[in-house]
Amino acid sequence: MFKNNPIFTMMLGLCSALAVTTTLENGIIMGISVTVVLIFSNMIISLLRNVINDNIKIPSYILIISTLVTLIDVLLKKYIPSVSDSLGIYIPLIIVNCLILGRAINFASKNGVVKSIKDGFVMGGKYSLALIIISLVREILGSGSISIIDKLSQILGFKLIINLPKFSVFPNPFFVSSAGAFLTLGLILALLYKGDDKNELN
Amino acid sequence: MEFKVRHGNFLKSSNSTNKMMKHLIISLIPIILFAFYKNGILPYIHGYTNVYQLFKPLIMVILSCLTCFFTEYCFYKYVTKDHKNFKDLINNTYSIIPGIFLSLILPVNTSLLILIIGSVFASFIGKLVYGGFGHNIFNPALVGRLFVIASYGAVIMSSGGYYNIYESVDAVTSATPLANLSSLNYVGSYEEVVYPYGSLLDLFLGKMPGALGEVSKLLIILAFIYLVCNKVLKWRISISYLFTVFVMSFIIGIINGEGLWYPTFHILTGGLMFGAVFMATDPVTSPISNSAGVVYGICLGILTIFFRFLTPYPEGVLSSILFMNLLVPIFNNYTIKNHNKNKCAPLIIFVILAILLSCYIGFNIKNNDNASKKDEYLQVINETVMGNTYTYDIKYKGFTSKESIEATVTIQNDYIIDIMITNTLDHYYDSHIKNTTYIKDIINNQNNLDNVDTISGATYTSSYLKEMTKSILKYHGDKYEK
Repeated sequence: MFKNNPIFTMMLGLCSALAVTTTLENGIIMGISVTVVLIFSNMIISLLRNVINDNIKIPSYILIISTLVTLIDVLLKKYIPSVSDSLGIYIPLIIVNCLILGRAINFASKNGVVKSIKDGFVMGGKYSLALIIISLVREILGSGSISIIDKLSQILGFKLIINLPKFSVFPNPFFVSSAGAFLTLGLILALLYKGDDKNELN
Repeated sequence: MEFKVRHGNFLKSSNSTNKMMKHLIISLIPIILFAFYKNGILPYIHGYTNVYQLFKPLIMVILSCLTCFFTEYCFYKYVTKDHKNFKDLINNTYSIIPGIFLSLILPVNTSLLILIIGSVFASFIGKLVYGGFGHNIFNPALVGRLFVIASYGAVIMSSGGYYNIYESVDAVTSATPLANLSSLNYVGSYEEVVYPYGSLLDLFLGKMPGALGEVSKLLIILAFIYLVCNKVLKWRISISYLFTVFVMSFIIGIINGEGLWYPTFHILTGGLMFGAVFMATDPVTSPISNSAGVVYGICLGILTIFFRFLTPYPEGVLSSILFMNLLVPIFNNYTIKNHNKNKCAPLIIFVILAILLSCYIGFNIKNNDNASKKDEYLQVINETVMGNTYTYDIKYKGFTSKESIEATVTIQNDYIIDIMITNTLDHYYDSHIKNTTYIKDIINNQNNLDNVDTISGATYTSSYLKEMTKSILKYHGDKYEK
């Protein structure tokens, strides 16, 4: 699962990954959104791979991706406005998420439809996993809780937040801040690459 | 023919790193003893504390040294598997130095658990992850302090802040001298600025609130002289740093009609002197050459003045040293590339920059002072009266926009019993203040709001909340008091 992980080994899409992972729920929703966009963009691009001229490759890919992202953005705004508020600018920013463009250029434009959809699933899954790990660590250390269903309660109708016991130093707001995001990512990477001088995860 | 390249110490000097560190520790002993006297013995003699509080300053220093030491021990034993014995860790990697410094730049009210976490952070994140002694980019002790203040600043402030128990009994205000100055909009008469803390001599001798080691300027100067005589310190950095701050605040003072005491006050307050002598001159994280050191000191001075006058953070020494640590490789590269050229150019540029910046700040303060009428942000939308209880629905300015905080304030017998934030566009409120006891603190200290410290990370929003409480109290008072 950690081999070829977009965040932990390829370091793609770090901007949104570090910014939104303040709660577990945000991480899950961001992961799902990126996965959905990735699957559809991979599918459309691999369908059109023989039509699109090589010279205008990147603009046309961006166009396809931004259409999909705008669609997701509008849907989120309509049905779960609280999530859309808290993810804010980072949903529109999926457009320039290098993971999606990277898979489009490196994989979908060279492979068939079924293979591309599968790649979208796998890559999106790995991305979501990385987000879940980062957001879990940050939320437990930073706010002392694990929110599985908080903002989604608008449509699901119930909340599921595990509150951990607090004492004088435990929920440390540092980890919710952006500096804490970099620190968490760095420590997780250090743990994953521990004693691995040859970059075997690549 | 085969050449053998041998690495060695070709410098003919009796000063080894080991000796330097020994001198450093010797010079710190009087400072530690003074901290013990001021924060331990003095309150104990006057009967304010118990035996634990008496020895707390010493416990803090020893505990943070031990924590740093064991962090390094565990790191080398379990992570790098590079076995080092105890003597190695003390003599060759100087594991306890960050510990000593970290405990000296924290206030005495820091709880021991926070100190331990800070020491682990200083040693591990500040030093070991970069590869240990000699490889760290930032000063480890400052990294530790930054972490402690960023995450537990509110906790430390609520347990007494920079005042020890003895001082807080007969203190006039609860703010540090610099925070007091910044709340006066950076200018004021000698009576307003210095008098609440005694005199300039008191500031010099250390009779002022502050972190453990930074208060006694006399001892720091003595330590500086001792270290310079033993050729341990890069004295050019300290001198040019202090001189720049002095000259810049002198210019600012002259423009606003202050006397010579004003720059002296700036030199003597806060952690400036301690930072300039011990932190900025750290051999690992400061430029190598002498000429670069002078420019480095000037840059530090400019940044400190910048932080003190143009940002809501009144201290500025920590941030400026950490920021300049980041640029040390540039200084070193520049010196190496231009080693035989004229070195005056950067010096002149930064001197001119310093003068221009201080003129700008000086005139800026003067204009602000003239137009010091504050905008009124309070809007009362609805008020209901039930007997003694008045409920106001109000809008107030937050960080993002005018009217960005909406609140319901309940006042009973001229005393606020509840503040409920009903709606806010200010995301700093949601992220930094909502889950803290800040609003409760405001309610509890409503007659003395300057006691409540702002939340770091949401400084503007929290001070606006304080202003909001003040203005609603004033509004209520104007309306219903005779």
